[in-house]
Amino acid sequence: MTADSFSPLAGGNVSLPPPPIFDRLRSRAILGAALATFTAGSEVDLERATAALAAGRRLQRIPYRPVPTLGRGAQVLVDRARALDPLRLDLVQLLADLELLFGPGRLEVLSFAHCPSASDARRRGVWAESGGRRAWRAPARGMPVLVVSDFAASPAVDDDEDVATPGEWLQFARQVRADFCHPVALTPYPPSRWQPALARLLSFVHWSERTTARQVMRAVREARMRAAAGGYR
Amino acid sequence: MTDARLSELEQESPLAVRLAELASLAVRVDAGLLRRLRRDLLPEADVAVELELWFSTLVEARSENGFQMAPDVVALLRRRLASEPGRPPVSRVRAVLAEAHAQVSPAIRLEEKVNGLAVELGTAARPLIADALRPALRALTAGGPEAAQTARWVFHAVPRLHPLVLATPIARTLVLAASLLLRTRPRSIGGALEPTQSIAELGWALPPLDLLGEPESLGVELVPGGLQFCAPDGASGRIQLPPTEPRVVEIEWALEVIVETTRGWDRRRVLSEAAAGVLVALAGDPDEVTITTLSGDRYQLSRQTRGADTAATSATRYVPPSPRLLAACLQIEPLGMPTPLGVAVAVGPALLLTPTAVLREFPVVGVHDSATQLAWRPWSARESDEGHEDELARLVPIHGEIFDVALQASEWASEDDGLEGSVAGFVEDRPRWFHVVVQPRDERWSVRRGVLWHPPQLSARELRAAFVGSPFVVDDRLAGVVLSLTPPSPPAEYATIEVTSPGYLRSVRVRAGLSASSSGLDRESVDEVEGDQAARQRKLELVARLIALLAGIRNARTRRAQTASLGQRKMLLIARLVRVLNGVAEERGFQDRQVAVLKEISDRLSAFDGSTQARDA
Repeated sequence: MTADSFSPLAGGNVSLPPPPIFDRLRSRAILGAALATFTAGSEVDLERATAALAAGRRLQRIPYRPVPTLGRGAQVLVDRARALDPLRLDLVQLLADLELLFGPGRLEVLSFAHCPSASDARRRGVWAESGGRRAWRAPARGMPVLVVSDFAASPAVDDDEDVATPGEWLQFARQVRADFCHPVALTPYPPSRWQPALARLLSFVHWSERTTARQVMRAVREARMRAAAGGYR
Repeated sequence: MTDARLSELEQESPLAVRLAELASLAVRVDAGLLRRLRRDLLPEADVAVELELWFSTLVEARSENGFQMAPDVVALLRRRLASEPGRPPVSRVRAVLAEAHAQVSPAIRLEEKVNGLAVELGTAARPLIADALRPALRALTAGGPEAAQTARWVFHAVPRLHPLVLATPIARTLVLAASLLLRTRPRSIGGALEPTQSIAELGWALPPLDLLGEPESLGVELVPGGLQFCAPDGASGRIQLPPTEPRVVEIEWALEVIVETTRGWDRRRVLSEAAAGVLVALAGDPDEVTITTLSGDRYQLSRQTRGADTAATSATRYVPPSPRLLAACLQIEPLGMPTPLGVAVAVGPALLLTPTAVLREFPVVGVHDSATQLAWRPWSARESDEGHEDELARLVPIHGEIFDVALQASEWASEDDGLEGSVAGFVEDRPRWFHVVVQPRDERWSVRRGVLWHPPQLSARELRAAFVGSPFVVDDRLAGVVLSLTPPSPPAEYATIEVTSPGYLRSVRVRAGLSASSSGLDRESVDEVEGDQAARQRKLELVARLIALLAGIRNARTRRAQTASLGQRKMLLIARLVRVLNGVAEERGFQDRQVAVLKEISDRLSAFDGSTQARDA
């Protein structure tokens, strides 16, 4: 707009896109830490080998040091209910970051509303960008499942009557665990609003500028230790 | 000042309220703006605060892309942003807002800029606001699609504009010019014109007016107390107006002012709507005014153009009626409730009038600070105003009280002209006279509009209770009754009133049996005699005979020396006559009996008169 002209309708009516919650570098580190699985690397694990031999056990296979990998790919479940409207553009950015992180063909992105395994058939299920609604199916064994949602922490919005219940989320988390997948929860609400029972089943990541990759690694490790100890139920 | 919605959110999430304060300068809030405001100016807040605000009760309308907060809440938030401690400077908020909205439309950016300036700098921002709004005003004057777009933007933006912005002349010009262009009433500035606005400022802000169509004629009259717009036919003056909506003119006149001993003239100017029926009160009752239209035409109007009538009116000085007549005014209230409803005026010894609207659901009312109770006596079917709902209702005292002072109804000198007079108003429970001017004519036959000058400083409710029902008095006679009152709109020094028209008052007078020249005879004493035409005729004959006989007695007494016994007998007879008449008044509905009683009185008086004459002879 110059001092001499005034065209009221020139231009749009939306702000510039929001700066991303995770900047590019941190996004890679945090998402990588949250969604990596472990596989045998190329380096022999001397400590484990020495310990086995010293204990008089025979080495049946050479132990290699585990290394994190994204090679298994990931399934991403995105909540499209109105509760995440304010983060709509952040979701676009997040999916772009994940695509970049995993590479083409290793990411299955599905949408849901409220909860993928809701008790009510009308709300249950997931859908891909092209395709109709279907029941959620677990991905391959050991694959991480990233769920982006408010996990019933938001208040009901306007006509959004069919919000998910905590019980539905607990049931879904148990189902993911039962299928030997690693559920990771990404939510904009802080730990004080996470449901304790759900937080024991899912590896929660706070979608916030303050979250660090180190925090995420610790949280994922603790969740896996709980899983190994059978402390899910 | 706070708001329940703000308090609620403040308890749940104080940071969400702080974020709302930062966003209060924006026309529309979306994710991009919220994120920048939060990160740059509220770093202690987390992403969740954005969601808490987005789904809070402060939001009036939301979509998946953004939201708007309720205007009343926005005003509070802006105030907090500018005045509460610990808030970032408004200049920084404005900078972040400008950055986030770098690509939005100029209209939105302009609105946010002027609102931001007003919040940041207060009244000091006026020149900057004017500079900022100037391109929009130029777009409005340029015509074409951009002018229409600008007008529509202004129309919708008005409720969101900061009061300081709206108070600038250029903003008012913009608002009014936009409304004229869109042919709709201005929003949010009360739908009324700003009287201090200059028509020159407004005129240049408009696109060519000939696009609106042919000019229209409107009649103008200088009336006592102001200027009256009326239909052009028969008016003494006529002006041509461009067909804007609303039609607008500027009226200019000179007001005589005396400072100490020096007399001078103060030019006064007022912007007014011009439509038939509108009465513009002009301080000082000027004899000459200049009317300027939006097309720049100027008209001189002076009283001399109205001829002899005008000269007579302008020569009249306001003189309040006799204070004695104030005793005819009573402030009435519901029984047992010391809250006055309005005023009733005595028009006979036992008959009062008050607006029907005052009584509403009260069939019996009390007189303020008195034990007197008055009953509402509805008009019967035979007395109704030809099927119309009556503006005035009758009241009669329940316990037979007689009012010493009653107002006599009078005709207006000319029903086509306005009239200057007084109405009684109750201030601190005591009535006094106030100056009023009533306009010449109106579309409603039963009501005239007028102006009450310098009303007392009372609330709207108190003003109505003080004046509605009050008599409009001219030359110590009843010329109408105040039916309603609209309090003054500052800085105006007058309230507008509605009074009964002369035609309607005449109708009431006839139906209530009030004579224009009599002393307000209580119609109730003879009212019920009116049954059919024959009874009416008999009654009139009897009353005429009674009057003639009484006059004869009086004449006899004054002409000749009377004996004491004769005088006593006359007095006794008159006393009996009064008693019988009172008895007739109490026996309602027995017309034949009343006629018979009146006949008996008449016969006795005739006999008495005959015997007196015989004795005298």
